[in-house]
Amino acid sequence: MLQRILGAVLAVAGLAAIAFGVATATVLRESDTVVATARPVGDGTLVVTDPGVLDLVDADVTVTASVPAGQEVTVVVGRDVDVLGWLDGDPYTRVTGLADWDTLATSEVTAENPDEDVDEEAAEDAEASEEAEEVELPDPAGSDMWITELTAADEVSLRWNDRPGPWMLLAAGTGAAPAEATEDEDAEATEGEGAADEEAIEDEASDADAVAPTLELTWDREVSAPLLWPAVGLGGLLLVAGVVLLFTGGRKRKTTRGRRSAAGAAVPAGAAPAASPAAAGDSPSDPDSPSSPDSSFGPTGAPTWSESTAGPIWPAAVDGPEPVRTAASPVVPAPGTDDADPHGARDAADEEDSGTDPVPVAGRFSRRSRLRPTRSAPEVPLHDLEEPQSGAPAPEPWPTEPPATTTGSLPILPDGRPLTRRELRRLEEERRAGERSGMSRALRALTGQTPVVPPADASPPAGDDVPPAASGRRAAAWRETWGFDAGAGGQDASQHDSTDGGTR
Amino acid sequence: MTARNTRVVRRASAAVGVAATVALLAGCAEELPTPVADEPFTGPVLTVEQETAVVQDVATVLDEAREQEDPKLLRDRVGGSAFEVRKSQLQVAKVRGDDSLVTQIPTDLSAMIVPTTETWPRVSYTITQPTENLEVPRLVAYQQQSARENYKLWSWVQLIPGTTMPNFADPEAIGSEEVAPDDDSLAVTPTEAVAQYADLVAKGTEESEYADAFELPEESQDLVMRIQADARNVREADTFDAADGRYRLTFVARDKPIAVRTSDGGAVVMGVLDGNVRLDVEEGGTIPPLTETQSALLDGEDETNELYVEYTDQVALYVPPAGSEEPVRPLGYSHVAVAAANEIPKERNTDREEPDGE
Repeated sequence: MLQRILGAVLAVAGLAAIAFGVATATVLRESDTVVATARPVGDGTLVVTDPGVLDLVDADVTVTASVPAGQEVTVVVGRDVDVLGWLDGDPYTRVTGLADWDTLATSEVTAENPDEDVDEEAAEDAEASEEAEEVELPDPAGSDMWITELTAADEVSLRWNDRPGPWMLLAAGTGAAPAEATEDEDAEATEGEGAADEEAIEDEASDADAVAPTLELTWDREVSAPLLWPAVGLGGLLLVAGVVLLFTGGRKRKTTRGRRSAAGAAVPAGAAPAASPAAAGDSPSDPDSPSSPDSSFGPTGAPTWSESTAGPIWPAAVDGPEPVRTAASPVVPAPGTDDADPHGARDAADEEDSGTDPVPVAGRFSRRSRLRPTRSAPEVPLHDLEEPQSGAPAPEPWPTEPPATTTGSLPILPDGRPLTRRELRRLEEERRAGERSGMSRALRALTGQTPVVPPADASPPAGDDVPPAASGRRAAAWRETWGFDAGAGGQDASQHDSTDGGTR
Repeated sequence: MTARNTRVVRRASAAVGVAATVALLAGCAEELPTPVADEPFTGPVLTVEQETAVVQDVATVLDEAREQEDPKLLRDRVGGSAFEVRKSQLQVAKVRGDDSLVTQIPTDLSAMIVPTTETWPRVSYTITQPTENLEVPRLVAYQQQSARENYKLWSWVQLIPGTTMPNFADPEAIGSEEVAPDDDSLAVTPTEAVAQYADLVAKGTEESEYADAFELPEESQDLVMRIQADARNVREADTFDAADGRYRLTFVARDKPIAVRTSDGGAVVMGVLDGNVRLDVEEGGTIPPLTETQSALLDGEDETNELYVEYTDQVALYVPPAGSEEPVRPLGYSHVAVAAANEIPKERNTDREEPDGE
């Protein structure tokens, strides 16, 4: 049950992680554009951006300056020195950066000497009055210094591609749009004095309403979703792990149910089998005996092994877990009970169980422990090989796989081949003891084998006095796996020892 | 069992949700960028496009004023000595009904000299191509007096034929340094150079103490030769001599010439000479205007025994760097009469400049 809970949690967590990852790249993804607005502060009709503001977010920026309807607005970009020189003491709104992602930070710059300028201009000559007005309403339009310049009524939009240097943007509200057209020397020269004055008055009235434009800076920006693939990857792993746990949990319940229904005798026998598959399982994973175990085991464990490791079996396992179980359990008891007569024991076991796998077991034992000469075995393995591939074999991997990876290979591989039979046996016993004592609970949680093991363990310890019997059989299996071929007897063992010695 | 199961699942999913939220918030808390100003500009203050636009704008204004014969139209784009000269030229053209004496300023350029000056005034220069009727190229100065004003045609000279212009820094990438009127990195300061040249113009190569400092062109006329030749022509005329005529001339330099650094560390200096020519003959005699321009400037005034003509002459000099053995070279000039009278006034355009002239 715990297993299933864990599986569910993992699966949910995995799904959540995947969903989150996808979300970061979709709904949670930040906007591709940054739009920040600056509202003018203080006096003046000018708004100026500090150097570096235009390319704050991205090199390309779209600047939109808007003024109340009916007024005209001008936007220019110039070198910082030029813009500051042009401002020349006039009050303006300084845009210093971003206050937040939607708002530009502004500060007010007050006039330094506005009156002085006006006085100077007024004193000049006939056009003094109009020039004085221009001073009050500074209009940057038309200067040679600007790199780019746009003037329009109500609203003007300027695209700026950043280039090296401290560029500044200057936006100015320049008063009523239509009045501008008549306000020049032509008008004064060609029209009467009175007309010019009237226009000047009109200008004054409308200019009084002139306000600094509201700036809106729009940048495109690259929005990455750095969490997407990590989250999806992690989620996928969690999900797979969770699903695996869920399946094994479900399977375990089924198997226990099945076993109960099968037979009471099967349970004690099943204990031994659990061990044997484990032993058998070692062989495949072991590099030293790659070919022989596979072929010899072929009928029983090998085919299933190869398949289980390959992975395709997993789905199959769902289909036919029960047969496998039953098949597996008999295999072990047979050897465990009858060391001398594995065939008979196996047969008996087969008969007890579903009887699907008996042949392979026989083949294995005959081939390995007895004599290689047993040629009847190959035929059987072939059948089995075919069968497993068709889908039936799937069940076997379940019980065998986990022990295989965990038990046998670990101690042996690192040492090379120093383990004696006794040591092997002890290891095996320790493993079983560990299973019993809960040392390998995690393993069980993963594999769902718990029920199988305890009963199996119960019997082997009893036969501890008879090492040659239960453990001997296992040892034989090991030896075969590793090429010792000791299971049969002293002769074989000695032979193999010699060969082994050679390898040593 | 199932209850516990779901509870666990719920707890787990809650945990996942919290983790996801935290991660999300972390993602949102991206730092606001702060403006970083790039390196200050060091190059030319105008791009080639801007300079071209200035030249075009000025040319447009010049053409319009010329067509309308209205000097007022020049105000936006013409200033300094150029305005005085142009205004006079337009007035003359109007009187004569012929604008052939109005100096053409071609817009086709052979070179640009763009300043690096960060303050005002700023001056940029151009060297034009020859005009349509193959008059010599002009060296033209455009000055921006303040940030709120535009570049104005400030001064021009016709280059002396055969003159080799010094090299200037690349106007696109580097820009040329402005040289102060009292800059002492030159053989002589710009102010001194123009003053000495004025002295040379007024006194001629034989009398001026500065004659050795200048290398005047041999095969073509510069301002010195031109004015001295004019004077000689009048003085040597038999009738003029017989009438006990006097031909006196004065040329003095205005202060604050504009100057720009050349590649070799020298400078090209553009200055203005105020000059006047005073002729008088014995009582009862008459002096007719010597040129069409003068007659136009007199505009129908009766001829008397006196003639007074004022000039505003724009000159350009090459001044070598300090320590150089090279002499100062005149590059070009513009010699235009801007006023004339049938009597010699007591106040003349050179009066205030007298101290500088010596």
